[in-house]
Amino acid sequence: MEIANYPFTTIKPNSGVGYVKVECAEKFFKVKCNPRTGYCMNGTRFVPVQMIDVAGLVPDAHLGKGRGNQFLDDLRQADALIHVVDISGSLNAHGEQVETGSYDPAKDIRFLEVEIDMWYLGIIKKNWDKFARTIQQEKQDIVKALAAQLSGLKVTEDMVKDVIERMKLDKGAVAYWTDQNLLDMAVEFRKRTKP
Amino acid sequence: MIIAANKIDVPGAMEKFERIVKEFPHLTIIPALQSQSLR
Repeated sequence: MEIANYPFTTIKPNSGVGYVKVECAEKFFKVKCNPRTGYCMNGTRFVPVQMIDVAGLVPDAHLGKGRGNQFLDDLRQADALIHVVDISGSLNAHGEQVETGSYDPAKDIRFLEVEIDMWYLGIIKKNWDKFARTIQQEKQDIVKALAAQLSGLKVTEDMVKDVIERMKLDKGAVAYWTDQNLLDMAVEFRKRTKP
Repeated sequence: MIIAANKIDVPGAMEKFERIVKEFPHLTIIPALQSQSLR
């Protein structure tokens, strides 16, 4: 695995396993723990968590800037995202070295949220017009259909139902949902599926 | 989204960290030392 301080050192995702340390229940039950995953040492459980290090993004990656957002597909199945930010302000938005303290790391946090939201929106909008027309004409259940459409992002029926209700969208008029509705929905799904 | 605020041990980084914690109260922000980076 290549490690260096120039932009896009990581191109292909690097996968590995990290461990979360928690106190084991073996002391309480007075038994010896023998976990199926991870391991237990001196009363401490090491719970395995699969970690995937993916390529970085630059602002407007969803418009094709930098290397685009094609790498985001590597994140589809992730349960959570960890954004590593250089808090000292010595790397700019393009991952280039700048004078320490001269870059505002808050910009990185803002732009990554936007890029992930736009990625979700792109997935929702793919074939949306045909999808929405079919749902409306055939009076299909939008909750089930949309959850099935977005299952790859770990969006569930409960999430879709809740988001539609909170946004007060008309389930019988899916074809009339606006672009802003779809963007708001993308943001909600992103917050819930990639906390 | 969880934010790993790396290089917190660099001079001046703590001020930026405190500002970001205030600006993004909805996020989990965890400080990390430069020396903890994977090598």
